Amino acid sequence: MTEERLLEIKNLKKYFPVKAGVFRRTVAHVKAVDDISFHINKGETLGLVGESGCGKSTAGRTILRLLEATEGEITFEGHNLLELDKRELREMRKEMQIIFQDPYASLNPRMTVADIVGEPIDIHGLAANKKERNERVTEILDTVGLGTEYMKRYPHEFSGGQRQRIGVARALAVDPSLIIADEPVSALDVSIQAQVINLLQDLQKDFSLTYLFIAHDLSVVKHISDRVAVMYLGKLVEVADKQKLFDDPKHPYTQSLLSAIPVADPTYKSDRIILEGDVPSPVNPPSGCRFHPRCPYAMEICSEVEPEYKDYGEGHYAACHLLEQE
Amino acid sequence: MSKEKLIDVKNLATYFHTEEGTVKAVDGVSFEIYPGETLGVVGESGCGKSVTSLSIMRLIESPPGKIETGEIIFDNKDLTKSTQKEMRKIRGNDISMIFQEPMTSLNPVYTVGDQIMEAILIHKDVNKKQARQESIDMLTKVGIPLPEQRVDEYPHQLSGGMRQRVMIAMALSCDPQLLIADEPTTALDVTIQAQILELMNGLKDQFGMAIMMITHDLGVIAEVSDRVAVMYAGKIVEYTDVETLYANPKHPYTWGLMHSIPHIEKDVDRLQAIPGSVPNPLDFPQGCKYNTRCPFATDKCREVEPEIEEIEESHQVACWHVDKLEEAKAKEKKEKEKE
Amino acid sequence: MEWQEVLINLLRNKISLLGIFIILFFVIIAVFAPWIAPPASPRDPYMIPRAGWSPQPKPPNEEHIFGTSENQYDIFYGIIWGTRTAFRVGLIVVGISTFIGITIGTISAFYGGMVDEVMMRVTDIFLSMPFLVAAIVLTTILGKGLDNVMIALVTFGWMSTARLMRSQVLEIKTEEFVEAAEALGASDMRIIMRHVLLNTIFPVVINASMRMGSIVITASSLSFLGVGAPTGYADWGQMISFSRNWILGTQGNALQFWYTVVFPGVAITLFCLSWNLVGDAFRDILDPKLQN
Ligand SMILES: Nc1ncnc2c1ncn2[C@@H]1O[C@H](COP(=O)(O)OP(=O)(O)OP(=O)(O)O)[C@@H](O)[C@H]1O
Ligand SMILES: Nc1ncnc2c1ncn2[C@@H]1O[C@H](COP(=O)(O)OP(=O)(O)OP(=O)(O)O)[C@@H](O)[C@H]1O
Ligand code: SF4
Ligand SMILES: [Mg+2]
Ligand SMILES: [Mg+2]
Repeated sequence: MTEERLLEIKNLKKYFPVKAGVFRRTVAHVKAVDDISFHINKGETLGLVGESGCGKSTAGRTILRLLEATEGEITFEGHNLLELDKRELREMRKEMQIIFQDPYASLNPRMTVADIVGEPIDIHGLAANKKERNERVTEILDTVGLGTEYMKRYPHEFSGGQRQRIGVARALAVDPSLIIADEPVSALDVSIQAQVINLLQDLQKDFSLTYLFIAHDLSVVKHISDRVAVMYLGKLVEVADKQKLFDDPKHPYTQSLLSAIPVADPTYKSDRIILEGDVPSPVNPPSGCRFHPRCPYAMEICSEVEPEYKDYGEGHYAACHLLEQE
Repeated sequence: MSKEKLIDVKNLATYFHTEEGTVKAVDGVSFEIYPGETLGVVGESGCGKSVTSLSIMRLIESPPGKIETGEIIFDNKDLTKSTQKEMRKIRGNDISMIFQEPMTSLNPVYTVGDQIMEAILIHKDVNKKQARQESIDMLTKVGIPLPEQRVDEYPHQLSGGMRQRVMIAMALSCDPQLLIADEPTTALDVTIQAQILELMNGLKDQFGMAIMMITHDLGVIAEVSDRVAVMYAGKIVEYTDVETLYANPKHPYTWGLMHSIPHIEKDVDRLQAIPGSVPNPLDFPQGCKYNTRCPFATDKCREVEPEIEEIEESHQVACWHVDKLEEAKAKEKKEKEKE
Repeated sequence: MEWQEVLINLLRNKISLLGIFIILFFVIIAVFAPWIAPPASPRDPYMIPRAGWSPQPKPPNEEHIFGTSENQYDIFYGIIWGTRTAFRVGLIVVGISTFIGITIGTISAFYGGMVDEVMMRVTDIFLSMPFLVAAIVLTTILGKGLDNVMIALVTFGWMSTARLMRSQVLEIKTEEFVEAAEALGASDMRIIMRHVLLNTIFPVVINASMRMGSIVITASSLSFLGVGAPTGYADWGQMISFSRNWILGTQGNALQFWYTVVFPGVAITLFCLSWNLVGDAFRDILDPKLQN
């Protein structure tokens, strides 16, 4: 495999101001994404996991510039996205798309399926006339497994799984190279999830797509990803090849996360590492290593110095003092 | 089994009579729970898990809901025939329940302590001071740090995991014989879910109660249950002990479900998705309700609904073609061996 | 729910059907006014013909079926042609002020930040002035006349729509489908027109239909207070103002001049009621949808 980087993120930060008082002054910041760096190779799937509120969605949206980054660098196919002006950015959006978690909120309830899927074609002038547009819409709907008989219907007439297919069709319509999928199956029925996962995998093959796949379900991430990134409280704690990450997790948080997954096999007995306490607030994250108050191996240095995020060989990145001491 | 049944649900059916038609949310389910065991109830959204548990608690909104037929025998009494007054005595005392969304099931204007104390004061003969002490003890038992301080806090001051602990503390405060847990960890993160499941397991041994665990997560079910009932479209389609279910599923739906989810401990290239979607409850198909999605369905399945039957000792299945599934399994095994 | 579906529901709902019937009734009167009450001078049909110069109203009779008011203005004629005035004032004032409200509310919420801050402070300033007093003052400054009344009512009548629109747009703006459109590279204009407005317009329509009635009442009050339509102009408010000196009747016969107030009063009340009925029904029909 030639490892050509499609997307490269450097020191990306996204802080949300917390406003208070009569004058709505900024009193603090939610450090939703706080200095993360990673890359995605062409044609691969990078899974991004972490607990609720750790900043996964914020990272995804900031990369697409749906949110303005506070700091950092986003290089996509050689362009620095943060330097594009509004017009250039709109043009660039053809190359990067997003699929949302909620198949109900992400489709305009007052537009027909044909209009939802046709909108990107209209925006970018991808069809010369109405007939061509219709053909293209039909083709895309067919690709995601929806028949043309649905074109005139409104989103509420569809089941969750079908709606998610419409969302995928809309993203595909501009023929992007990168798709950020923000928990695309979390809201779906168990028996429907596999349909959408399979669809995403098929499309990846057929259209040589690159995915940033955000999820909190580690089994799903393991199934679909080539590499996996683990986030905790706005920071990346570990990024590695899937097999390496699951077989040999280096960061204590990854270890406990993996051990916490309930396994669908009653004979399987895991050595569970039960973490103490809850995830702290991203407004006032713990000093040093953000994981130290919950970490079973925390040392003195952990509460004082932030561990460096670095490569521990063959692209296995992690940020933990234990590793530095080894 | 010679043990006395704690609760025996026989042919329970609960319908909702809505403007658009009758929703047969639960349509003839039978199961029993023995003292001290955990019965897992698994199924997809809308299959009737919550309605089953609410029927046991007699908390079905009526109208539009109504328990149409069936018996729920608890303590030699049929709960379907109990008055609401009798039920109030049972709820929270003999049978308690915890819900998926801990925020909406706690009252935001009362402190945590007030809410636990309320349950204790209703069902036990103690004074306020003793009740408060018992509340603090309960919070300690469910692993809430600084219970003396937390007891005076309001629900919004707690995290999701803490709230669920408070719910559990409330539910267990009167030492119930049966705890019904309706997706208690669905809204929580995995690491918090692990905490709560471990807590429930520990408390079960300590209090010696039975648990009816409702979830759609096959992983959680495998982890906590002794026996499992698989529900689909208002019916139990398979009912057996947990090891048998996972090792040897006999209903095509159970089998399909297990193949359609990614398993963390083994890799497959491609998931075997179940085609189609869950049927509309207002418009269930005739015959077996799974026939629109089942790879083995025949005309018989489309006409006559199979009853749940014991096909092996303590293994009940509702399917006309258990043999076909066995053939498919054998074929699958052969192919694997070839590789 | 789509427009057709809403319409069907409106027609099914008995209350709204009643409202629609009354509105239709007024529409027919307005359209056929020249036939129902032929004007004396076709050049200026809105001036009510006078049947003499006596100040005392005369009760209904064969020639003037609703009677005549102070100074012998024909009440029937005034009511019929006043319907046109009511529609004109209502539609123009509600139309323009709703448009202004929608524009300001949408831009304010969509762009946020300083734009929002400035626009909302301006809205607050306008809101802080008592509506009727401000309208009277402005009409007085601009000069008596129906057009000036309308200008005044528009000037001080757009804020509630702007507020409503702003809160609606703020809610819709964060919806994922709006984000999806942005991610597709849609322009702001396109997002506003196709995604935001399409999903926020219903409550504003309800609000506008409710305001139809109240605007006509306010315009009438201005006429009643003498800053509205010129004397003799066919306007319901003016008709009531003609009855001002006669409402109490004469000694021993309090109801002697009932017709001077009842006919225009009924007209205004029915007009206002019909729009409210339709607005209410609208809300009931759309509410379950809004709760979903
Ligand atoms: N627009 C916003 N304004 C302020 N804070 C925000 C905003 N969006 C997100 N946050 C905060 O940023 C943090 C990260 O949120 P984010 O939605 O990225 O988490 P996530 O990892 O996607 O979680 P989930 O699994 O629940 O989707 C959270 O603490 C959240 O409250
Ligand atoms: N109050 C009600 N009125 C009408 N129908 C109802 C009502 N409550 C539940 N239902 C219907 O009964 C069926 C079963 O619902 P139930 O809540 O038991 O599902 P569930 O298995 O608990 O699903 P979930 O996993 O989503 O909680 C559904 O089709 C639902 O729409
Ligand atoms: S009865 Fe028929 S349709 Fe139903 S599960 Fe069995 S084989 Fe499938
Ligand atoms: Mg998210
Ligand atoms: Mg439920």
